[in-house]
Formats: sequence, C-alpha cells, structure tokens
Amino acid sequence: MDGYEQHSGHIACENLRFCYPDGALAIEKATIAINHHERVALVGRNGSGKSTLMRLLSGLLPCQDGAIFYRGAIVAKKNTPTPLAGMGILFQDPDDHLFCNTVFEDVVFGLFNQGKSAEECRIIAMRQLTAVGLADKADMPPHVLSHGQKKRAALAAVLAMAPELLLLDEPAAGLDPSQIEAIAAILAEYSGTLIVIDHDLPFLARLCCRAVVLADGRIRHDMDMAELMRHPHNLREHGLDFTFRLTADQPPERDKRHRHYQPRHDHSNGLAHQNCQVEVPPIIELQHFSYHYPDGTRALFDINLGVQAGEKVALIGENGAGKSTLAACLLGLRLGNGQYFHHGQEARPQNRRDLWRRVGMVFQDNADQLFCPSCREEVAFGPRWMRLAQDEISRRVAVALAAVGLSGYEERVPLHLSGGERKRLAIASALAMEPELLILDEPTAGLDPAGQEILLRILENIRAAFLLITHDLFFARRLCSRAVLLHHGEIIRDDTSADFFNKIDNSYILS
Amino acid sequence: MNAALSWLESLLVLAGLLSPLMLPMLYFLLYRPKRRDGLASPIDSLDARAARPSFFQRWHCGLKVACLLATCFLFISPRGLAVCLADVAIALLATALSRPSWRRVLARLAAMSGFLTMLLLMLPFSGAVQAGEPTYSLAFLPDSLPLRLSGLGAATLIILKATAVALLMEPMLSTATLADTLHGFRQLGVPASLTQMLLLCHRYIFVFQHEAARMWRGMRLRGFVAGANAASLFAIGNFLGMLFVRSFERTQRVYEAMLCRGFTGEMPRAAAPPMTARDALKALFWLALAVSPLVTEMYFADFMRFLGE
Repeated sequence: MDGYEQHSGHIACENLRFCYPDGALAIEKATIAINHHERVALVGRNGSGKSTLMRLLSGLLPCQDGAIFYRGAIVAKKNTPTPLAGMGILFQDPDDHLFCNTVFEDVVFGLFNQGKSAEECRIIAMRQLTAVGLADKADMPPHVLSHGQKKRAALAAVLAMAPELLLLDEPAAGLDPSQIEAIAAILAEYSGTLIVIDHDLPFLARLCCRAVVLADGRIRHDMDMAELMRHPHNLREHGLDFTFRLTADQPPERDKRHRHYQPRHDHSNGLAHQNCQVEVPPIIELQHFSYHYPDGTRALFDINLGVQAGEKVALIGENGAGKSTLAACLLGLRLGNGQYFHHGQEARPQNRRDLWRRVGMVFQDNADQLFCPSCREEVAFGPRWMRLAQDEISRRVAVALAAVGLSGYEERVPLHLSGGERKRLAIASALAMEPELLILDEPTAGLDPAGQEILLRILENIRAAFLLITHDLFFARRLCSRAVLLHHGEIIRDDTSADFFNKIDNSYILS
Repeated sequence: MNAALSWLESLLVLAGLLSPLMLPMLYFLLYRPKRRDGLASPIDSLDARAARPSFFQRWHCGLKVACLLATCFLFISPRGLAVCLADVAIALLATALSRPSWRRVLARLAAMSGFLTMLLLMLPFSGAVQAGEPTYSLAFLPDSLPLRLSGLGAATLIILKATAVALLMEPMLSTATLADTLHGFRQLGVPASLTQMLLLCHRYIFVFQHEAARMWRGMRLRGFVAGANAASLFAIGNFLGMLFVRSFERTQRVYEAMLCRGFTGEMPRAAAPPMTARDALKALFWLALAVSPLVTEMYFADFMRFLGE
C-alpha cells in the first residue's frame, strides 16, 4: 500500500496531502503521530488547514496522497466519507450535531447505532446529560437551548458513545468564560486521546500537553504546549497570541445611582441620579428601559445608557446577559418600554425605523450580513438604499474598503473570503453608511490572533462612536474609554475603562 | 326558476360567500396584537404539547394514526350536508379532546380560507343551469350569471369536508412526539426515507428560520425595504441564494455529523410500547363514532331527509 504498512501510536499520518476540488492546496506533507491518551492542541491561523487535517484524520475527507494509520494499521483509502470507528468528532456549530427533535434523542442516537438496548441507552444518556448539566433539558427541542447549552448537549451526544479518540473543532468558540469553564471541566474528565482545535491558547494549555502548529497547510512546529506558551516569538510568528477573557462568579451589587444625560424625572424609591449634565446631548440614550421577550421572559431591566459622539464603549457580560438584545433595542429592532432619546429628542417607536441611517451594526456571525455576489456590491448595498448618488456610492465603497485593508477585493466573492476578511468586509459595509454609532457584536469571535490584531488596528482608526459587545477584556481595555457591565439584563457597572478595570474586584478572573 | 334578489339580499349573500375570510381576521384579532416588536413570531413546534395527557395522547401511536387516517377518508366520502356537519362536529370534538393550541388550529383553518373562499365564489356561478334548477340573480351581477343552489351546495360540502380533515390533523400530529407519529406512519407503509426527511425538516426549520431572520435583519439595518422594484427583487434574490448556499453547506455538515455517530441510513429509536386491549377498544370506539354519520345516511335515509328538510 504505497510503501506504508503500519505505525505505532493511536492515530498517525505520513506525508498527507489534500487539495480541494477548486485546486486549493489545504494540507501538504503532514506527518504526525499521536499516542494513546495523549492530548494534542492543533493551532494556527484561520485557514491554516487545522479543520481539514481533523476531517482527514477522522475519515470524513478522502485521503488523496500519503497515509493515515489508526490503531497501528493503515486506513484503507475510500472516496466516500467513512468516519473511523471509536472516534468522536465535535464540529464547531452545535446545530450540526443536534439533528433530532429532543436533546435526549440526540444523545441516544449514537448509542442505538452502537447496538445498545433501550434501557442502557437511557441510563447512559441521562448520566451524560447530568454530567454536562443538562438533565433537566433532556426532553426539550434543541432549538430552544442557548448556544452554550447546545455546545454542551452536542458534546454529551459525542461523549455518550465513549469514544477512544475525541476530535474537537473550536469547542470554546462563542462561549463566555463560565461556559468555557464548564466545557474545560467536562474535557478534563475525559481519559481518551484528545485532539482539540481552538484559538484560545489559555484554554488549550489547561487541556493539552502537546501543541501542533499549522501554517499554510504544513506542520511547522510539534512541541510541548508549555514550551509554546513560554516562547512568545513562536506565538507571534504564527499569529497565536492570548486573548483575555472575563468571568463573573459573584456579580457585585447593583449601584443605586444611575446617570442620565438629560434627566427629566425624579425618583422617590431610593434610586438617585448622578450629576451628568452635558452641553451636547448624546447620540442615543436609554432611560429606565426594559424589554421582555414575547414569552414574558425578562431580557433587560431598567437600562440607563447613553453614548456620546465619538465615545468608545465596551459592553461586557456573560452569555445570556442581554447584550445582543440591548443592541437590538438600540437599533430600534426591538421596542421595549422606557424612554429612547436620539440627539436629545425622544424617539417614538415608529421613528426608530429610520435609525439604520445613523446606527450601524456588525453581527457576530458575519455570514448573516453578507449576501451579495461581490465585495463591491456588499459594501454598496447600504449606501444604495440610502439613495445616494452613484459617485458618492463609489467613493464610500473605496474609502470603506481601504479603511479595512480590502482595497483590490472589489470583485471578490464574499463567500470565498477567509473568516477575518469577511469580518472586515462586514465592518466596511457598515462604515460605508457613515454611521454616528457602530455596534460591534463579538468582533473577535472565531478570529485567529493575527486576524484580531488587524481588527484592532482597524477599530482604533474608526472615528465614529462605537459600542463594542465583547468577552475580550484585552480589546475592551485597549479600545474603549468606558466599560459597561451587563448581568442578567441589568447594568451593574458603568465606569470609565480606567476605573472599571482598577475597581474590578477579585470575583472577576482575568485569564 | 330564477329569483331576483334585492340589493340588501345580494349583499348578505356576498357576505356569506366571503365568510371563510373571517378566519384570518379572527386570527389577526386574537393573536396578532401580541407581536409588539415587529419581529417574526416564532414557529410553534408541532409536537410542543405532545406530553399533555389526553384521550389521543394515551393512545397507541400507530393505531391512532391508522384510525385517524381512516377517519379522514371516511369524512371525505359522504355527500349529504347533515352528514358533513356531523363530521365537522366529531372532528371538533376530537380537536378539543386533544387539548390543542387553538392558535395553531385557527392558523391552519385561516391558511385554507383563501382557497375555500375561491371555491365559494366560483362554484355557485359556474356550470350550466339544469332545467328546473332554482337560481338567484344578484343585484350587482348580470342575469346571465345567476347563483346556482347546487353549486353553492357543492362548495359548502367541500368546505365542510376540508374543515373536518384539517381539524383532525391536530389530534393526529400534535398528541405524540413527531418521531412517534412518523413511526406510526412508517408502520402504515410510508417509506423510511420520507419520514426521516420530515423529521430533519422539522428540526432544521427552526435553524433556517433563525438564519433567515438574522439575514433579513442585516438587510433591514442597511436600509433595505421590500418593494415591487428591481433593486428590491435583486436583493431578495441574493438573500434567497445565500440562504440556499448556507442550507446546502449545513446539509453536508449534518450528514457528516450523523455518519460520525454511526448513521447507516436508518434513524434508530426505542421500540414503541406494545398495543394493549385498551388501545384496541379505543380504536373500535373511535371508528364506530366516525362511521356513524355515514351509516346513518346510508341506512336511515328517511331520517336524514327529515334532518335535511
């Protein structure tokens, strides 16, 4: 068989090479051997070939050239996706894993396929769901779960099959630190061979003892994890830098005082106004604003928040704290109760429909706002609906693309760009509308550290005010003059960044 | 035998012909105002109330599906107005016994109302008038377009049959988990591939809806307003194309995730609980109830004529 016979170790590959049908070379001469019970981190920039290598090792992609060894024997080449027995694979998007109509059915799916009896399946599934803290959600349809719960449910579905080798693609992506903690605790209990792809190096350092660094489809380093962390030049070389994340286990008490830029009422229930008179009213201001979901669940409560022209504000909070809902309210997409001021004038619900001209938004998943066939069309979409002249549209497209470093990308197809480029394109499409306020929802999610660095430079040069929704404390501290902490739908801190990060008490863990 | 109706009578007849449109109006009045923020209301899961105990929920799923399917065929076979009314009453009783989401029941009926209204407007005025057939001339229509009672009767029968069958969908589909219900259909010979596709569709329609809503929001935030113009159609074309591409990519990933968990072409499930004597008795009772209007029509014609008069 091509000169390859057998290989020690749990899983290995030799001179692996893979090209996508469009000719793009994804993996080149990859040779790696992973022993039983070893814990390996696959790291590298976006597009370096990590996910492709994982799919090749698992048998989901056909082995075009080279050889893969599993349990010591060479894996026969097949043209159809044939996952290798005993492997558990977790993709990045948990919705891909939860294809049954209840969480319980999803967890027992693999167990039934292993030929276990119904009673065995039930016992194992409930034990696994209890382990991930979802026993009470067993009978719920997956679409009602939060993102973090879906991630844990998908992990439970994979772990229930007791895989001897676990391959995880960004298990911590899009999660707040407390959810990451939960995932890390679950994985710490796992005793089999573990291969993890992620950009969060501190998270990986807790789980893995070995790091394999990929760049441009090649394995550049294969070293001890601690050694990789000790050598910043390695991190820098491959765009691997730490992100700083925040978690709260005991939120501080809510401040009884709140500030309005233009107070128009008094309080008699113990609340007090801070003096915050300004000459120029803020771009937008919410006063005693609350929002409930249609099913009655409270999402936001008594929000007092204003953003001045040019101000950079970080909005921080755990998953489910209400950050994205607050953004939707600021954009006028959700109405809620309370007062909404725009340049000092109260904006009635019917008038908030026009806020899109002044408030821009960059979504967490940029695929949600990229739908045009070319980058030029994408960036011109907003200005065109603003009914601007063609010359002005062309000027704005050129300026916006230049601002995010995508000049020359005008005719490229957005779908074919890398993750970082798509994020920058989404920012350009918002900037082209020259908003007074830009809302950025988790702009660093899914970006490798090199992509984050480029993003940082772009955001530093934006003149418009922006509201940065993030878990990334490094970005918040670096970019924003003010930080707002949201917890369970309430603002529990609203300070200058300097005060915010100085006053932060020990219940906040900076990792 | 043609009778001319006055303007008032004609307007009343027209109101009667348009009466199915009251269903969407009623739905709007009862449920629409709850959407306060202008966002699309979430789709209710078909089996969201499957755990609520009811006459149908405690019935063996395969037998229930078989009996209710047979009932549907029974309900579309009779011809008399009184029998159809009795069928609707039985279907309404079945719906009430299933402890349904009345919102969804009304939505389902409202969705049919356009088609039913078209039938009511077309059938009474189409077809050749038979000799001796009673007809009526409406004040706002020419005499050459009279309203035929036989056409009106035919349209009414179709509406009643359609309503009865639509009502039966609630006890059939919402009183067990969708997986159990589809397993019941499989026991009746429906191909496994079809039931698997329906299961996956039901799961991913929510993901699809969320993706579509987020993309639509992204377009709205950049000024898009849907309208009947080229720019709008172009944008909607891009939107639909991107939705298709994303769905296609997801299909691939879901299939791979299924393969990784041992999928070999068959969705595994726990064995259904066995049929009991109680289930069989329920089936007998239900079929007797469902067939009773038809039997009454066939063997008690005089009684039915009396009812008809």
